Amino acid sequence: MRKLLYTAIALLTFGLPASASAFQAPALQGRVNDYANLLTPDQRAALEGKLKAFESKTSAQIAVLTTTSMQGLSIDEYAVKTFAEWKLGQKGVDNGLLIVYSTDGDHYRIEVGYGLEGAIPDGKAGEILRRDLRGHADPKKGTRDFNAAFNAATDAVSAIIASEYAKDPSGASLRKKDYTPLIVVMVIGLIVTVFLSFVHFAVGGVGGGAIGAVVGLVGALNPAAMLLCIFIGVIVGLFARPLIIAIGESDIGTGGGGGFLDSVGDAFSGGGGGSGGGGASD
Amino acid sequence: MSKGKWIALGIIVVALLFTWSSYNGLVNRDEAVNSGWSEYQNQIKRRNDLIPNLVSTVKGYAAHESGVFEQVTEARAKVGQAVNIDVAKLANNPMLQKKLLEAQQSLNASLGRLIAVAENYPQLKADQVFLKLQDELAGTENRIAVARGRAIKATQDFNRYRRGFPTNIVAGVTGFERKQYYEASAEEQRVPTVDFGKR
Repeated sequence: MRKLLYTAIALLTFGLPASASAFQAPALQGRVNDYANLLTPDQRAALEGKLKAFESKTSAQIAVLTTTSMQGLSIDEYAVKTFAEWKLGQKGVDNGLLIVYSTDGDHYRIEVGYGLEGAIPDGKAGEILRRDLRGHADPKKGTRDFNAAFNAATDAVSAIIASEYAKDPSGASLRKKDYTPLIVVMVIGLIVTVFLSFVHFAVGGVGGGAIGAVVGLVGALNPAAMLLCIFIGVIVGLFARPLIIAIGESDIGTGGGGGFLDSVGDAFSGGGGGSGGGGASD
Repeated sequence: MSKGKWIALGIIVVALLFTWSSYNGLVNRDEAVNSGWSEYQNQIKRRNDLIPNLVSTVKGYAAHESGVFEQVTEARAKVGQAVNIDVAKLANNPMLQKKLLEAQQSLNASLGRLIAVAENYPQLKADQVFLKLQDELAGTENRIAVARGRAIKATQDFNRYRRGFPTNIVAGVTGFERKQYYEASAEEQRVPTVDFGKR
Protein backbone atom coordinates (compact mmCIF):
# COMPACT_ATOMS: atom_id res chain seq x y z
CA MET A 1 0.00 0.00 0.00
CA ARG A 2 2.79 2.38 0.92
CA LYS A 3 4.59 1.53 -2.31
CA LEU A 4 1.44 2.34 -4.24
CA LEU A 5 1.17 5.70 -2.50
CA TYR A 6 4.77 6.59 -3.32
CA THR A 7 4.25 5.62 -6.94
CA ALA A 8 1.18 7.83 -7.13
CA ILE A 9 3.03 10.77 -5.58
CA ALA A 10 5.96 10.27 -7.92
CA LEU A 11 3.58 10.21 -10.89
CA LEU A 12 2.02 13.46 -9.82
CA THR A 13 5.26 15.32 -9.18
CA PHE A 14 6.62 14.09 -12.50
CA GLY A 15 3.96 16.08 -14.29
CA LEU A 16 4.80 19.34 -12.54
CA PRO A 17 5.52 22.17 -14.93
CA ALA A 18 9.16 23.15 -15.14
CA SER A 19 9.05 26.88 -15.69
CA ALA A 20 12.57 28.08 -14.94
CA SER A 21 13.38 30.46 -17.76
CA ALA A 22 16.70 32.26 -17.94
CA PHE A 23 15.13 35.68 -18.50
CA GLN A 24 14.50 37.87 -15.45
CA ALA A 25 12.33 40.88 -16.16
CA PRO A 26 13.39 43.98 -14.25
CA ALA A 27 11.16 44.70 -11.26
CA LEU A 28 8.30 47.05 -12.03
CA GLN A 29 9.09 50.09 -9.91
CA GLY A 30 6.38 52.33 -11.24
CA ARG A 31 5.63 53.89 -14.59
CA VAL A 32 9.20 55.19 -14.81
CA ASN A 33 11.86 52.53 -14.30
CA ASP A 34 15.17 54.30 -14.68
CA TYR A 35 17.65 51.52 -14.03
CA ALA A 36 20.34 53.21 -16.11
CA ASN A 37 20.09 56.41 -14.05
CA LEU A 38 19.55 58.73 -16.97
CA LEU A 39 17.03 61.01 -15.24
CA THR A 40 17.17 63.05 -12.05
CA PRO A 41 14.74 62.13 -9.24
CA ASP A 42 12.72 65.28 -10.01
CA GLN A 43 12.46 64.41 -13.68
CA ARG A 44 11.39 60.87 -12.81
CA ALA A 45 8.68 62.12 -10.46
CA ALA A 46 7.38 64.62 -13.02
CA LEU A 47 7.21 62.01 -15.78
CA GLU A 48 5.62 59.49 -13.41
CA GLY A 49 2.97 62.04 -12.45
CA LYS A 50 2.20 62.86 -16.06
CA LEU A 51 1.81 59.21 -17.06
CA LYS A 52 -0.33 58.52 -14.02
CA ALA A 53 -2.67 61.39 -14.83
CA PHE A 54 -2.88 60.09 -18.38
CA GLU A 55 -3.83 56.62 -17.18
CA SER A 56 -6.59 57.93 -14.93
CA LYS A 57 -7.99 59.80 -17.94
CA THR A 58 -7.82 57.05 -20.56
CA SER A 59 -6.90 53.83 -18.66
CA ALA A 60 -3.97 53.40 -21.06
CA GLN A 61 -0.74 52.40 -19.30
CA ILE A 62 2.48 53.92 -20.61
CA ALA A 63 5.75 52.93 -18.97
CA VAL A 64 9.38 53.88 -19.48
CA LEU A 65 12.34 51.58 -18.85
CA THR A 66 16.05 52.28 -19.09
CA THR A 67 18.51 49.48 -18.59
CA THR A 68 22.21 48.79 -18.73
CA SER A 69 21.87 45.16 -19.77
CA MET A 70 19.51 43.23 -22.02
CA GLN A 71 20.64 39.86 -20.64
CA GLY A 72 22.03 38.79 -23.98
CA LEU A 73 18.75 39.33 -25.81
CA SER A 74 18.02 41.65 -28.72
CA ILE A 75 16.17 44.84 -27.84
CA ASP A 76 13.06 43.42 -29.53
CA GLU A 77 13.06 40.23 -27.45
CA TYR A 78 13.97 42.09 -24.28
CA ALA A 79 11.09 44.54 -24.69
CA VAL A 80 8.45 41.95 -25.61
CA LYS A 81 9.43 39.69 -22.70
CA THR A 82 9.45 42.54 -20.20
CA PHE A 83 6.07 43.68 -21.51
CA ALA A 84 4.68 40.16 -21.11
CA GLU A 85 5.92 40.13 -17.52
CA TRP A 86 4.58 43.60 -16.65
CA LYS A 87 1.27 43.14 -18.50
CA LEU A 88 0.86 46.80 -19.31
CA GLY A 89 -2.58 47.97 -20.41
CA GLN A 90 -5.99 46.81 -19.25
CA LYS A 91 -6.97 43.21 -19.70
CA GLY A 92 -9.02 42.70 -22.83
CA VAL A 93 -8.25 46.24 -24.04
CA ASP A 94 -4.47 45.75 -24.23
CA ASN A 95 -3.82 49.49 -24.18
CA GLY A 96 -0.27 49.39 -22.85
CA LEU A 97 2.89 50.87 -24.28
CA LEU A 98 6.50 50.48 -23.19
CA ILE A 99 9.41 52.71 -24.14
CA VAL A 100 12.78 51.05 -23.57
CA TYR A 101 16.28 52.43 -23.83
CA SER A 102 19.29 50.23 -23.30
CA THR A 103 22.71 51.80 -22.76
CA ASP A 104 24.08 48.38 -23.71
CA GLY A 105 24.43 48.75 -27.48
CA ASP A 106 22.54 52.08 -27.51
CA HIS A 107 19.11 50.84 -28.60
CA TYR A 108 15.61 52.24 -28.31
CA ARG A 109 12.37 50.33 -28.62
CA ILE A 110 8.73 51.35 -28.50
CA GLU A 111 6.70 48.21 -27.74
CA VAL A 112 3.03 48.71 -28.57
CA GLY A 113 0.26 46.69 -26.90
CA TYR A 114 -2.21 44.80 -29.12
CA GLY A 115 -4.97 47.30 -28.50
CA LEU A 116 -2.90 50.29 -29.61
CA GLU A 117 -1.51 48.77 -32.80
CA GLY A 118 -4.28 50.38 -34.83
CA ALA A 119 -3.67 53.85 -33.40
CA ILE A 120 0.13 53.53 -33.45
CA PRO A 121 1.19 51.34 -36.36
CA ASP A 122 4.86 50.41 -36.63
CA GLY A 123 5.51 53.25 -39.07
CA LYS A 124 4.18 55.77 -36.56
CA ALA A 125 6.20 54.20 -33.76
CA GLY A 126 9.31 54.40 -35.94
CA GLU A 127 8.63 58.05 -36.68
CA ILE A 128 8.28 58.86 -32.97
CA LEU A 129 11.42 56.90 -32.25
CA ARG A 130 13.48 58.79 -34.82
CA ARG A 131 12.01 62.24 -34.17
CA ASP A 132 11.37 62.33 -30.42
CA LEU A 133 13.73 59.78 -28.90
CA ARG A 134 16.77 59.86 -31.19
CA GLY A 135 16.09 63.51 -31.93
CA HIS A 136 16.73 64.47 -28.30
CA ALA A 137 19.08 61.81 -27.02
CA ASP A 138 21.51 60.17 -29.41
CA PRO A 139 24.72 59.52 -27.46
CA LYS A 140 26.65 58.70 -30.63
CA LYS A 141 25.90 62.19 -31.89
CA GLY A 142 26.66 63.72 -28.51
CA THR A 143 23.08 64.50 -27.46
CA ARG A 144 21.97 63.10 -24.13
CA ASP A 145 18.76 64.90 -23.15
CA PHE A 146 16.88 61.76 -22.12
CA ASN A 147 14.36 63.75 -20.14
CA ALA A 148 13.30 65.65 -23.24
CA ALA A 149 13.36 62.43 -25.28
CA PHE A 150 11.05 60.49 -22.97
CA ASN A 151 8.76 63.48 -22.47
CA ALA A 152 8.44 64.17 -26.17
CA ALA A 153 7.84 60.52 -27.00
CA THR A 154 5.27 59.96 -24.24
CA ASP A 155 3.54 63.22 -25.23
CA ALA A 156 3.37 62.07 -28.83
CA VAL A 157 1.88 58.66 -28.02
CA SER A 158 -0.45 60.19 -25.40
CA ALA A 159 -1.82 62.61 -27.97
CA ILE A 160 -2.53 59.77 -30.41
CA ILE A 161 -4.14 57.57 -27.76
CA ALA A 162 -6.19 60.47 -26.35
CA SER A 163 -7.60 61.30 -29.78
CA GLU A 164 -8.54 57.62 -30.24
CA TYR A 165 -10.38 57.70 -26.94
CA ALA A 166 -12.12 60.93 -27.91
CA LYS A 167 -13.40 59.18 -31.04
CA ASP A 168 -14.44 56.04 -29.18
CA PRO A 169 -15.04 56.63 -25.48
CA SER A 170 -16.32 53.07 -25.10
CA GLY A 171 -12.69 52.02 -24.86
CA ALA A 172 -12.33 54.08 -21.72
CA SER A 173 -15.55 52.86 -20.17
CA LEU A 174 -14.50 49.24 -20.68
CA ARG A 175 -12.26 49.57 -17.70
CA LYS A 176 -14.98 50.74 -15.34
CA LYS A 177 -17.23 47.86 -16.28
CA ASP A 178 -14.65 45.12 -16.08
CA TYR A 179 -11.98 46.17 -13.71
CA THR A 180 -13.35 45.67 -10.21
CA PRO A 181 -15.12 42.33 -10.63
CA LEU A 182 -12.07 40.99 -12.41
CA ILE A 183 -9.84 41.88 -9.48
CA VAL A 184 -12.22 40.16 -7.08
CA VAL A 185 -12.33 37.01 -9.21
CA MET A 186 -8.56 37.02 -9.50
CA VAL A 187 -8.02 37.36 -5.77
CA ILE A 188 -10.53 34.64 -4.92
CA GLY A 189 -9.05 32.40 -7.60
CA LEU A 190 -5.59 32.99 -6.23
CA ILE A 191 -6.60 32.23 -2.64
CA VAL A 192 -8.44 29.06 -3.62
CA THR A 193 -5.56 27.91 -5.82
CA VAL A 194 -2.93 28.61 -3.20
CA PHE A 195 -5.01 26.94 -0.51
CA LEU A 196 -5.72 23.85 -2.58
CA SER A 197 -2.14 23.46 -3.71
CA PHE A 198 -0.98 23.93 -0.15
CA VAL A 199 -3.37 21.22 1.01
CA HIS A 200 -2.18 18.98 -1.78
CA PHE A 201 1.52 19.49 -1.41
CA ALA A 202 1.62 19.64 2.37
CA VAL A 203 -0.50 16.67 3.25
CA GLY A 204 -1.27 14.98 -0.05
CA GLY A 205 -3.27 11.80 -0.08
CA VAL A 206 -2.76 11.04 3.59
CA GLY A 207 -4.28 14.33 4.63
CA GLY A 208 -7.16 13.86 2.26
CA GLY A 209 -7.74 10.42 3.71
CA ALA A 210 -7.70 11.76 7.25
CA ILE A 211 -10.18 14.48 6.39
CA GLY A 212 -12.36 11.89 4.70
CA ALA A 213 -12.22 9.67 7.79
CA VAL A 214 -13.26 12.50 10.11
CA VAL A 215 -16.10 13.49 7.83
CA GLY A 216 -17.24 9.88 7.67
CA LEU A 217 -17.15 9.47 11.45
CA VAL A 218 -19.01 12.67 12.14
CA GLY A 219 -21.52 12.32 9.32
CA ALA A 220 -22.73 8.82 10.10
CA LEU A 221 -21.46 6.13 12.42
CA ASN A 222 -21.70 3.71 9.56
CA PRO A 223 -18.63 1.68 8.57
CA ALA A 224 -19.54 1.56 4.88
CA ALA A 225 -20.03 5.31 4.58
CA MET A 226 -16.84 5.92 6.49
CA LEU A 227 -14.84 3.61 4.24
CA LEU A 228 -16.20 5.37 1.20
CA CYS A 229 -15.33 8.75 2.67
CA ILE A 230 -11.78 7.63 3.38
CA PHE A 231 -11.48 6.33 -0.13
CA ILE A 232 -12.81 9.51 -1.73
CA GLY A 233 -10.64 11.59 0.59
CA VAL A 234 -7.51 9.72 -0.46
CA ILE A 235 -8.39 10.05 -4.14
CA VAL A 236 -9.22 13.74 -3.85
CA GLY A 237 -6.02 14.37 -1.91
CA LEU A 238 -3.97 12.54 -4.50
CA PHE A 239 -5.60 14.20 -7.44
CA ALA A 240 -5.83 17.71 -6.07
CA ARG A 241 -3.35 18.95 -8.67
CA PRO A 242 -5.33 18.05 -11.80
CA LEU A 243 -8.39 19.52 -10.12
CA ILE A 244 -6.59 22.77 -9.41
CA ILE A 245 -5.44 22.83 -13.00
CA ALA A 246 -8.99 22.21 -14.13
CA ILE A 247 -10.15 25.14 -12.03
CA GLY A 248 -7.33 27.20 -13.51
CA GLU A 249 -8.70 26.48 -16.99
CA SER A 250 -11.35 29.11 -16.51
CA ASP A 251 -8.74 31.87 -16.69
CA ILE A 252 -8.83 32.51 -12.97
CA GLY A 253 -5.50 33.43 -11.52
CA THR A 254 -4.05 35.14 -14.57
CA GLY A 255 -4.07 38.82 -13.99
CA GLY A 256 -1.94 41.85 -13.47
CA GLY A 257 1.80 42.12 -13.59
CA GLY A 258 4.19 43.01 -10.81
CA GLY A 259 3.10 45.84 -8.62
CA PHE A 260 4.71 48.71 -6.83
CA LEU A 261 3.68 50.95 -3.98
CA ASP A 262 4.89 54.50 -4.54
CA SER A 263 5.61 57.14 -1.91
CA VAL A 264 1.99 58.20 -1.50
CA GLY A 265 0.90 54.59 -1.14
CA ASP A 266 -0.54 54.43 -4.64
CA ALA A 267 -0.05 51.08 -6.29
CA PHE A 268 0.90 50.75 -9.90
CA SER A 269 0.68 47.38 -11.55
CA GLY A 270 0.01 46.12 -15.03
CA GLY A 271 -3.68 45.75 -15.83
CA GLY A 272 -3.25 42.42 -17.62
CA GLY A 273 -2.65 43.68 -21.16
CA GLY A 274 -0.54 41.98 -23.81
CA SER A 275 1.64 42.78 -26.78
CA GLY A 276 2.82 40.74 -29.72
CA GLY A 277 6.01 42.40 -30.87
CA GLY A 278 4.44 45.44 -32.56
CA GLY A 279 6.25 48.76 -32.48
CA ALA A 280 9.66 49.92 -33.60
CA SER A 281 13.26 49.71 -32.51
CA ASP A 282 16.69 50.70 -33.69
CA MET B 1 -26.90 -0.96 -1.27
CA SER B 2 -24.04 -3.07 -0.10
CA LYS B 3 -20.64 -1.71 0.84
CA GLY B 4 -19.15 -2.94 -2.43
CA LYS B 5 -21.72 -1.14 -4.51
CA TRP B 6 -21.11 2.14 -2.67
CA ILE B 7 -17.39 1.86 -3.30
CA ALA B 8 -17.95 1.04 -6.96
CA LEU B 9 -20.25 4.05 -7.31
CA GLY B 10 -17.64 6.25 -5.64
CA ILE B 11 -14.95 5.06 -8.02
CA ILE B 12 -17.15 5.75 -11.03
CA VAL B 13 -18.06 9.26 -9.86
CA VAL B 14 -14.44 10.17 -9.15
CA ALA B 15 -13.24 8.67 -12.43
CA LEU B 16 -15.87 10.62 -14.38
CA LEU B 17 -14.86 13.81 -12.62
CA PHE B 18 -11.25 13.41 -13.59
CA THR B 19 -11.99 12.33 -17.12
CA TRP B 20 -14.12 15.43 -17.53
CA SER B 21 -11.51 17.83 -16.15
CA SER B 22 -8.63 16.21 -18.04
CA TYR B 23 -10.56 16.24 -21.28
CA ASN B 24 -11.45 19.91 -20.89
CA GLY B 25 -7.85 20.72 -20.13
CA LEU B 26 -6.73 18.93 -23.27
CA VAL B 27 -9.31 20.67 -25.44
CA ASN B 28 -8.35 24.10 -24.08
CA ARG B 29 -4.64 23.53 -24.62
CA ASP B 30 -5.19 22.07 -28.06
CA GLU B 31 -7.13 25.20 -28.92
CA ALA B 32 -4.32 27.39 -27.56
CA VAL B 33 -1.83 25.60 -29.83
CA ASN B 34 -4.05 26.15 -32.86
CA SER B 35 -4.61 29.81 -32.13
CA GLY B 36 -0.86 30.23 -31.61
CA TRP B 37 -0.06 28.84 -35.05
CA SER B 38 -2.95 30.76 -36.56
CA GLU B 39 -1.51 34.04 -35.24
CA TYR B 40 1.82 33.00 -36.79
CA GLN B 41 0.10 32.47 -40.15
CA ASN B 42 -1.70 35.81 -39.91
CA GLN B 43 1.51 37.72 -39.30
CA ILE B 44 3.23 35.97 -42.21
CA LYS B 45 0.31 36.86 -44.48
CA ARG B 46 0.42 40.41 -43.22
CA ARG B 47 4.06 40.69 -44.17
CA ASN B 48 3.32 39.25 -47.60
CA ASP B 49 0.74 42.01 -48.02
CA LEU B 50 3.33 44.67 -47.26
CA ILE B 51 5.90 43.48 -49.76
CA PRO B 52 4.31 44.69 -53.03
CA ASN B 53 4.25 48.24 -51.64
CA LEU B 54 7.87 48.03 -50.66
CA VAL B 55 8.85 46.67 -54.07
CA SER B 56 6.97 49.38 -55.93
CA THR B 57 8.49 52.10 -53.75
CA VAL B 58 12.02 50.87 -54.45
CA LYS B 59 11.12 50.45 -58.14
CA GLY B 60 10.21 54.12 -58.24
CA TYR B 61 13.86 54.98 -57.62
CA ALA B 62 15.67 51.97 -59.04
CA ALA B 63 13.59 50.55 -61.86
CA HIS B 64 16.53 48.93 -63.60
CA GLU B 65 17.39 46.59 -60.69
CA SER B 66 14.82 44.14 -62.01
CA GLY B 67 16.67 40.98 -60.89
CA VAL B 68 16.16 41.60 -57.20
CA PHE B 69 12.48 42.48 -57.69
CA GLU B 70 11.90 39.14 -59.40
CA GLN B 71 13.65 37.27 -56.59
CA VAL B 72 11.53 38.97 -53.95
CA THR B 73 8.31 38.36 -55.86
CA GLU B 74 9.13 34.70 -56.38
CA ALA B 75 10.15 34.14 -52.74
CA ARG B 76 6.99 35.92 -51.60
CA ALA B 77 4.83 33.62 -53.72
CA LYS B 78 6.49 30.56 -52.16
CA VAL B 79 5.78 31.84 -48.66
CA GLY B 80 2.21 32.50 -49.76
CA GLN B 81 1.87 28.87 -50.85
CA ALA B 82 3.51 27.43 -47.74
CA VAL B 83 1.41 29.52 -45.36
CA ASN B 84 -1.90 28.83 -47.04
CA ILE B 85 -2.74 25.61 -45.18
CA ASP B 86 -5.19 24.48 -42.56
CA VAL B 87 -3.95 25.56 -39.13
CA ALA B 88 -4.61 22.14 -37.60
CA LYS B 89 -2.27 20.61 -40.18
CA LEU B 90 0.41 23.19 -39.50
CA ALA B 91 0.10 22.71 -35.75
CA ASN B 92 0.65 18.96 -35.99
CA ASN B 93 3.13 18.63 -38.80
CA PRO B 94 6.76 19.62 -38.20
CA MET B 95 7.57 19.11 -41.89
CA LEU B 96 5.05 21.79 -42.91
CA GLN B 97 6.46 24.08 -40.24
CA LYS B 98 9.96 23.49 -41.57
CA LYS B 99 8.84 24.20 -45.14
CA LEU B 100 7.22 27.44 -44.07
CA LEU B 101 10.25 28.51 -42.08
CA GLU B 102 12.56 27.79 -45.03
CA ALA B 103 10.35 29.70 -47.44
CA GLN B 104 10.52 32.67 -45.07
CA GLN B 105 14.26 32.44 -44.79
CA SER B 106 14.67 32.63 -48.53
CA LEU B 107 12.25 35.56 -48.60
CA ASN B 108 14.31 37.26 -45.90
CA ALA B 109 17.47 36.71 -47.90
CA SER B 110 15.99 38.34 -51.01
CA LEU B 111 14.48 41.18 -48.97
CA GLY B 112 17.95 41.72 -47.56
CA ARG B 113 19.23 42.15 -51.12
CA LEU B 114 16.40 44.56 -51.89
CA ILE B 115 17.29 46.69 -48.89
CA ALA B 116 20.95 46.57 -49.87
CA VAL B 117 20.00 47.91 -53.31
CA ALA B 118 17.96 50.66 -51.69
CA GLU B 119 21.00 51.69 -49.65
CA ASN B 120 22.58 52.92 -52.89
CA TYR B 121 19.89 55.52 -53.43
CA PRO B 122 20.15 58.33 -50.87
CA GLN B 123 16.85 59.88 -51.99
CA LEU B 124 15.05 56.57 -51.51
CA LYS B 125 16.60 56.13 -48.07
CA ALA B 126 15.17 59.49 -47.04
CA ASP B 127 11.74 58.76 -48.53
CA GLN B 128 9.17 58.85 -45.70
CA VAL B 129 7.03 56.17 -47.32
CA PHE B 130 10.05 53.89 -47.63
CA LEU B 131 11.02 54.51 -44.00
CA LYS B 132 7.52 53.64 -42.80
CA LEU B 133 7.38 50.52 -44.93
CA GLN B 134 10.66 49.43 -43.43
CA ASP B 135 9.24 50.03 -39.95
CA GLU B 136 6.14 48.01 -40.77
CA LEU B 137 8.17 45.21 -42.23
CA ALA B 138 10.58 45.10 -39.30
CA GLY B 139 7.66 45.21 -36.84
CA THR B 140 5.86 42.42 -38.64
CA GLU B 141 9.00 40.32 -38.78
CA ASN B 142 9.30 40.73 -35.04
CA ARG B 143 5.63 39.78 -34.61
CA ILE B 144 6.23 36.63 -36.65
CA ALA B 145 9.11 35.66 -34.38
CA VAL B 146 7.05 36.35 -31.26
CA ALA B 147 4.06 34.42 -32.63
CA ARG B 148 6.23 31.42 -33.53
CA GLY B 149 7.81 31.43 -30.07
CA ARG B 150 4.38 31.53 -28.43
CA ALA B 151 3.00 28.77 -30.66
CA ILE B 152 5.89 26.52 -29.69
CA LYS B 153 5.42 27.39 -26.04
CA ALA B 154 1.72 26.47 -26.29
CA THR B 155 2.74 23.18 -27.93
CA GLN B 156 5.19 22.38 -25.14
CA ASP B 157 2.52 23.25 -22.60
CA PHE B 158 0.09 20.89 -24.32
CA ASN B 159 2.65 18.07 -24.36
CA ARG B 160 3.55 18.58 -20.73
CA TYR B 161 -0.09 18.54 -19.69
CA ARG B 162 -0.80 15.52 -21.84
CA ARG B 163 2.01 13.57 -20.20
CA GLY B 164 0.68 14.07 -16.65
CA PHE B 165 -1.43 11.50 -14.81
CA PRO B 166 -4.33 10.78 -15.27
CA THR B 167 -4.49 13.01 -18.35
CA ASN B 168 -2.24 10.65 -20.30
CA ILE B 169 -4.90 7.93 -20.06
CA VAL B 170 -7.71 10.28 -21.08
CA ALA B 171 -5.59 11.61 -23.96
CA GLY B 172 -4.89 8.06 -25.14
CA VAL B 173 -8.57 7.13 -25.14
CA THR B 174 -9.78 10.37 -26.76
CA GLY B 175 -7.06 10.42 -29.40
CA PHE B 176 -5.06 13.49 -28.37
CA GLU B 177 -1.61 12.73 -29.72
CA ARG B 178 1.60 14.31 -28.55
CA LYS B 179 2.29 17.28 -30.83
CA GLN B 180 5.52 17.41 -32.78
CA TYR B 181 7.05 20.72 -33.77
CA TYR B 182 9.99 21.76 -35.84
CA GLU B 183 12.66 23.29 -33.67
CA ALA B 184 14.97 25.37 -35.81
CA SER B 185 18.60 25.27 -34.84
CA ALA B 186 20.13 28.46 -33.49
CA GLU B 187 21.94 28.76 -36.82
CA GLU B 188 18.73 28.53 -38.83
CA GLN B 189 16.97 31.08 -36.70
CA ARG B 190 19.77 33.55 -36.88
CA VAL B 191 20.98 33.51 -40.46
CA PRO B 192 19.09 35.75 -42.83
CA THR B 193 17.14 38.26 -40.85
CA VAL B 194 16.69 41.41 -42.81
CA ASP B 195 18.94 44.24 -41.75
CA PHE B 196 16.76 47.29 -42.23
CA GLY B 197 19.66 49.68 -42.22
CA LYS B 198 19.65 49.78 -38.45
CA ARG B 199 22.74 50.62 -36.55
